[in-house]
Amino acid sequence: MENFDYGKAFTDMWALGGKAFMTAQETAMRAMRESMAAFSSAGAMAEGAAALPDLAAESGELARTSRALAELMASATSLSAMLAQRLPEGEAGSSVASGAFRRMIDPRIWLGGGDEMDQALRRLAEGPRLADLWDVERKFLRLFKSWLTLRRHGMEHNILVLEGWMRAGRAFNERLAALSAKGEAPDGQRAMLDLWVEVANRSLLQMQHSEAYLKSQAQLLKSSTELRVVQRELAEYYGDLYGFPTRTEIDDVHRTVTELRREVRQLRRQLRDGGSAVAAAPAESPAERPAPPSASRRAAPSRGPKAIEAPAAVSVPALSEPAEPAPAAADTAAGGTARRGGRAGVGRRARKEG
Amino acid sequence: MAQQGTGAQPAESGEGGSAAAKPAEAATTGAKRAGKEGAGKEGGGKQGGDKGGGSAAAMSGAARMAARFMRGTRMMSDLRDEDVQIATTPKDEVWRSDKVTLYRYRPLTERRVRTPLLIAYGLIGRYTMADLQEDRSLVRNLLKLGIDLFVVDWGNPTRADRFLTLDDYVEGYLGDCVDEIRRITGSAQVNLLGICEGGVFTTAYAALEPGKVKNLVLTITPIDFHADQAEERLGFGFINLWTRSLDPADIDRMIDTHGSLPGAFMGSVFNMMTPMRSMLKYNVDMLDVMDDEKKLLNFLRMEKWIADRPDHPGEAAKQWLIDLYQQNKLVKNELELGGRRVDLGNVTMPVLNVYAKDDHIIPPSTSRALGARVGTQDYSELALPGGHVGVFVGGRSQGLLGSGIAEWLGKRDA
Repeated sequence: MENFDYGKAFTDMWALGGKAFMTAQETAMRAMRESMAAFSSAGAMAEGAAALPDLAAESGELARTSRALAELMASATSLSAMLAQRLPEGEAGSSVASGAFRRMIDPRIWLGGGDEMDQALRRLAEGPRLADLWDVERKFLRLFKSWLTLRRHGMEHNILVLEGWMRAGRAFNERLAALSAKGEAPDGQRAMLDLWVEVANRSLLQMQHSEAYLKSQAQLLKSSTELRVVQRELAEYYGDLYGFPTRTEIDDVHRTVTELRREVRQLRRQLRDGGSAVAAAPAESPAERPAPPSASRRAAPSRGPKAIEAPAAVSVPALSEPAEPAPAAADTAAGGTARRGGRAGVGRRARKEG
Repeated sequence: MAQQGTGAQPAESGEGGSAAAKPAEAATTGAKRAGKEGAGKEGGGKQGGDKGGGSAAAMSGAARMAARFMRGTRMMSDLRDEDVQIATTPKDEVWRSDKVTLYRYRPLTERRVRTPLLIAYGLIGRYTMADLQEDRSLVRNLLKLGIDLFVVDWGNPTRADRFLTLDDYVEGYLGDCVDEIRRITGSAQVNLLGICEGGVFTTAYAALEPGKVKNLVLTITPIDFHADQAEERLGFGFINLWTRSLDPADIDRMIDTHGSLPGAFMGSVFNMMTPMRSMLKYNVDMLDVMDDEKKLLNFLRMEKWIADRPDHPGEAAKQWLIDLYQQNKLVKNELELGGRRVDLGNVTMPVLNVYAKDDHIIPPSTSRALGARVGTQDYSELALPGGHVGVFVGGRSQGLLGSGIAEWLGKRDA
């Protein structure tokens, strides 16, 4: 079976399966919401049902988006089949180019290989799955809603990506036709791959710079963050319940440690600047002086920058002093080391690298 | 933001630079090069006419391809991770604070420049890019030209470091490194060489502590984060555009949630900038180099560097993305570190600003903006061929970068 046949079969299966899944999900969500509302109105949950996430609406949106993506996927599969037919017949030594070309016009790859960041976002958002627990309904429902929203935004983004690949496919086809008309069609599979890569790269970059793409990706980033936040809230609920340290508590500790370290560094600096280390190597101006307020009044260069030519070889005369610090400086350094040896947890170690 | 966008054999051919250089054509470079080789080596392309001859050529091409593949597979199976070494130039740890380490490189020749030079990379990617391999190493080139060279390694920040700020890195750690070098060497001032985000650190430090900085060298450093809008080359400055498209509150929330700007996340942003690259990288491009040990090792060294993506400490990442990328505070002299305003007019020491002509990550216009804002008349620019990474590891700029910097410093060492 050819790649595009696989793709077609995959799309058909996805369309049918997805439709059934979404319908079932919509029904389930509606039933869940109605149950929760009834539960609430019966007084079991005093803080109104209005606060509950509207899962039915969210899952309905997801189903609609899923259908749109499935339809687009079917079109992409057709386009892929057409592009595959354009590939010149077998040519020795070009199996890699041929394989790469076939792979790169497979719509599944367009969704899987061209949205690296979206995948990264999803990976970052992956976390605990839903559990069959009902004592923290709202937390779970919020989690589920966030998951549905992320899926929907993911699919919406995939639609944009897929459209971008289809534009690339059409542009490639047009370019190929134009070259063929001039008798300059690529004469091998590798040349065909080169042309495809060039056209698709340009097309994808144009897509990435579009407002719609940037907006969609920002939305995806936001919803993946939201899912993560909600997951954490749930995890912290259980952490608190069972006496495990939570992320918030650990962050508190980290903040404290960072602030303490900052203070220690500042104190060390004050000690050092009051000692002989800096005196041994004074800067041309005081070390801790405030920035001159009138610095912006400096004379701006009245000419353009000097453009320097990098030389092929440089012959800088050697200095007369040795490469290592002069004895006096080395002594000072030793003294400094001795003083610094008292720092808590910080030693100046001469470790060999490389 | 030195990371990504490199070709299969960047250190060998400098394609890391050119591939990254022209994103609109980026991914074609490797394929075209390979295509030419393929046509020659594999008998690719239609030979026309004689079907029998064509068939023989086809068989021969297939046999060569198979042999090449076999050689490559054997080589890959023989290689171990320890065979792929980067940053091998000998150096000694001379100071450490928290996760930050200051190293001093051992001299390779007699010293020719009196003032010591400190290399500061950013928090996105690692300093090891400046010393990727022996024959593609800014570090070695500078040592060979008699520079007394130090480098600061920021370590691998974790979530525990999420509250570190740019203030901590610039005034704190970098400042401590400078003072330590002054103390060790007895030199009143140091030369600073900042790379990418590290260039922002060194620029800010030089503005805050001009008396301690003899000369400032910047490489691929963004100063005006909105100057990308003047670029008309497709794909250049995408990170600038992408960051501006985000709501600052969403950036805050994302970083608070993850506790950092994850290195893997930034890696995927970089990959987006050359969308076709990843699709060719591990098949077509890799196949082109896998039967040549030298090229294969070059490829794997670059992979090793790319894979080493530390997470960017959270609070510092917020400042980087919101204060700088979104609000452009550095060029407006509005950035505040440790309660002090960073005024570029205070950069009164000589400045050498090195940029890559085809840098799509830090477009030249974003770097060159510095020239009109520094408080020195001694401002020079060095434009090098290649892209963001290629300028350090590409063949075309390899001989120019180190010698250009060394000569410039040598003239200002009095």
